[in-house]
Amino acid sequence: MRYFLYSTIFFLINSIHAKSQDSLNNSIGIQLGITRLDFFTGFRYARSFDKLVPFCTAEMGINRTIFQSRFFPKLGIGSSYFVVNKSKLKIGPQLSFSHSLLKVNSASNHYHNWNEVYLGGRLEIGSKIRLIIEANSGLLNERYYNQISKKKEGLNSLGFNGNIGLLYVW
Amino acid sequence: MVISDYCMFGKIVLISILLVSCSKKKEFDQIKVVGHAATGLEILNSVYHDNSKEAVEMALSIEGCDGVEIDIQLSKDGTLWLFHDDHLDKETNGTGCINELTDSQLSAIEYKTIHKEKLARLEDLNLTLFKGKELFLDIRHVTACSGDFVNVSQVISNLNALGLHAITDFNVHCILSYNQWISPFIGAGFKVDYAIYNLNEFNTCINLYPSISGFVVRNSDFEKNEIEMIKNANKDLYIFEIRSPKGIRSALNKNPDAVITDDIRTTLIEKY
Repeated sequence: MRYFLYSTIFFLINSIHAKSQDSLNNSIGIQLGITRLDFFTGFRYARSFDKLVPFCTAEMGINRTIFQSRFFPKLGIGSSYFVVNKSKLKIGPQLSFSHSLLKVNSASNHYHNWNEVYLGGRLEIGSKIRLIIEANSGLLNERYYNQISKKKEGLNSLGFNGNIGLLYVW
Repeated sequence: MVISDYCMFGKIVLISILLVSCSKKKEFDQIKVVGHAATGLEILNSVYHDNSKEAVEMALSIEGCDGVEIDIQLSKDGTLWLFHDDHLDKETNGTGCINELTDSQLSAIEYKTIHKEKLARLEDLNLTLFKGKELFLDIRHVTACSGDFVNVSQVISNLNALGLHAITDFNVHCILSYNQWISPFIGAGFKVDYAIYNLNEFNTCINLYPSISGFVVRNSDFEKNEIEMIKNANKDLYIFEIRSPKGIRSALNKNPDAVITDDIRTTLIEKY
């Protein structure tokens, strides 16, 4: 937990510094990734403040949604900080939080929820059209309705994700 | 493209996703969902290690899960322990085989996972959690390291000591893969499900042991008509070794009494 707290403080301090920079870019992209829960694909929007790039994502689980006909959405926010910030190459750490939910048993009123808080690394190659590669790992919290205790319970474990994608920057 | 074109494209994508997500499924209400080795063997989305006490409790707590299958081996002291592999080395911080180690040695062993679950005895499980559920015990008849046969009387007396032969709150099934053990287990009052790999084995077994309760089969080994044939003989039929959505769907379509699945969540999505 301390690990995530320090990382958050690091990003906040840098975001204050980054706001003074002039360069401002928007980017939108598509990405495909693997997690412990499913393969996910979706969109990503980011706005860069020099080295700091906050982003948001909207994805869906491919196996659940396409091959099992059960919609499995995931929404996320986060921020990258590019320590290497060249015009055609950007590399840096990133912190992200995402939430996904799935109705495993449609006969029940309860959803399974997953919260993921990950720290990882991100690579962007290109200028106007960029290839992105990222890998993240951290806390995976699963919340579900326990049919024995008759209440929602949470379980923590180690999670990860790996994404590739394409960005359009303007 | 103007903005309205993008909006139309967005609507088409959204409607397509919703249509795919809401398609009507076949009803499989009568088929029970049982977790293989509790929450599945070598499954990426499982929080706990297979055959751990934590995994058993988690599987039973999932809405729609009707029971668990666990692997049972006899220790050097003659106690029943939950463990799947032949050797301890790969998955735990122990070495050797279950049957070579005493209970105190086994008590100190943990799985090599983030939660470091301890090896569990059968008696460690909270049997009250099984109320209304199915408990399948896959019992090893050979000691992996020496290759010797396990003493069947010792296994049965262990199960009797736990009162499993007389349980009425839930169903206890003994999965056997050694036919010499069938008669002693049936004689001791247990429901015996025999693991078979083709119809010839079914025919032989049904002739020799007509009072056997049911059969456990691998999904890839039996077609739907063969499953029907076994069920028509008034025997229970359980399908195991399923984990992908396609495999789970194919197993459910064969209409067994239960599927012993490696992925409980994926199976529940297919079932409901």
